[in-house]
Amino acid sequence: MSPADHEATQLRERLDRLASSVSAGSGEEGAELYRRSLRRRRRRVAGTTALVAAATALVVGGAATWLPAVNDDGAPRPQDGQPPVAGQDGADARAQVLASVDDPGGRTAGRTVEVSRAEAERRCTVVWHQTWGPSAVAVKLRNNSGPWFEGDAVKIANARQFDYSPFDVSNTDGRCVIPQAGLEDAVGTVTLPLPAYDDAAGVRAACGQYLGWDFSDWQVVVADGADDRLAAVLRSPDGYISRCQLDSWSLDDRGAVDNDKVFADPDGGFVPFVEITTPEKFQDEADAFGDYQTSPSLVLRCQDQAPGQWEADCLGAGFVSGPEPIERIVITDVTGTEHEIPVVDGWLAFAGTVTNEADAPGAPGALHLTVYGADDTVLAEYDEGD
Amino acid sequence: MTGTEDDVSSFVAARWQSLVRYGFMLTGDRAAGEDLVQEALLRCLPAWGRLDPHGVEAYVRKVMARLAWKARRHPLRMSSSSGQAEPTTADIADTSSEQSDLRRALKALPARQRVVLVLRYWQDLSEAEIAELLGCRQGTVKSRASRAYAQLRQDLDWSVDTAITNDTAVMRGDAP
Repeated sequence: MSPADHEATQLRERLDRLASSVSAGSGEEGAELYRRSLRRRRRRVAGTTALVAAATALVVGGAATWLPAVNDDGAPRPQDGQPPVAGQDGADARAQVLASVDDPGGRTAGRTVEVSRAEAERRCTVVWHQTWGPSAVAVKLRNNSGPWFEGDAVKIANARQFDYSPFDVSNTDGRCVIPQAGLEDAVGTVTLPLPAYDDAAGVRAACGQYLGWDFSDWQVVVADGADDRLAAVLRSPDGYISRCQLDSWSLDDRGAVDNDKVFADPDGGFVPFVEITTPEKFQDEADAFGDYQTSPSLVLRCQDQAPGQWEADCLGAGFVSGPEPIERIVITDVTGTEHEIPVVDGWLAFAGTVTNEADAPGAPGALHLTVYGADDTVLAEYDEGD
Repeated sequence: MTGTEDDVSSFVAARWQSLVRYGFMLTGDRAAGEDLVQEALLRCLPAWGRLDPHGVEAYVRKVMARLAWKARRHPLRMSSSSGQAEPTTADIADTSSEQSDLRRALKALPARQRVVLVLRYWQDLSEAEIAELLGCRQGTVKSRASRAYAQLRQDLDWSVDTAITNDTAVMRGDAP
């Protein structure tokens, strides 16, 4: 046996011992957990199934700039001119997940405004109630020792006192990104109907309203829309990027996220998501797609409803780069229908509906992707899952 | 509960520990592993009646692996339940130094690298089998497995000599 083979065997044995050491609880406990999660999903109410609760809280919170349960105690505060970054310990998978929505706007947008702690708490109280429903409790913030800035992610000291049922988030904390002055009242809401994707002013307004940020001097780099969805990439004068993905499916009459609906059918549609971040973040998170790097995946979150064939609503905005400049990307679905993803300066947005199919949950679908360069030159072709 | 749901409950009762351990290895976290099991079961439910009774667990494990692999593609749908950065004593029955270090290193790997490493080096699947399971190219499996392995060796400060020495100790029945 070669040393390398020997080492692989060693690793396998160590992994075996690690797996065996996990205390998983009894089978009956597991079966009860399963029955409870099934009942909750069936009753179409939010449950304590932590995956769903935490994930949806994250989705809603992320979109509304509320971030539960990020363990960033002790993380250094950002330096002037640098974006605040949570989850810097790197050890917590949840922090990695949350990182995509935890790079808010204040400093990144180059318009840092200092606010008092009392004002920060007032704005965050408004946003919290806007997001999770009214209560008599006022937000108290903690763990910040320096100045308070718009756009800073701050932790809520008394999150568990809030009655934000139907979610059982007793194991989570709350976070707030301090919205810009005067914009807190509409954070987490979208005025319906959504604007057309070619209505630049409308796109800026809708995305900014949801985030609590003034995008009036930002450029809409690329946008795409469907009947009830909007995807866009916006760029600030100083080069920061906002990814904006809005879907009216999850919104109630106020334009706020209907949490019951999201919990009842987590795969039924998209919860709005708006962030401000740096172009570099997309590069850092990109996946290889043949010779090209994309973030997010070029499948653009076309929803996973396998097995069988289904109509997949897609919603995504991001970045693609590669050896040649890209003019557009075409998705050919299983019916042969072509759907164009517009690309501008490497930024892309897509809100189409495709027909997809797969043989099992989680399996890759059957979409075919063609990357075009100048003069309609085919630069690359891929199948979903490549 | 319907008959199918009773079947699923019985299956879960019988295989819970095994599935949670598999979920733990795929995610690096016990709570996230439990979540992964639950999510996979819910997704399997519509097809349960059509599954070969002898192949049910393999199917559930396949779905778990795919969900773990796709976690980054659906970053807002996947999260640990408890937010615990470190395991409690209830998570790991035996908290030997070796296992603590390995658990920490495994958890620190990027999600896709961890999935491939677990399938390649723990489940002993070939690169081709993993590629088919995850629906990706074999080259992707190869590169991710290689990077994961290299990272793990670095994080654990392994050398071939160390591995052989430890192996010898294990074969003698000493503590690893």
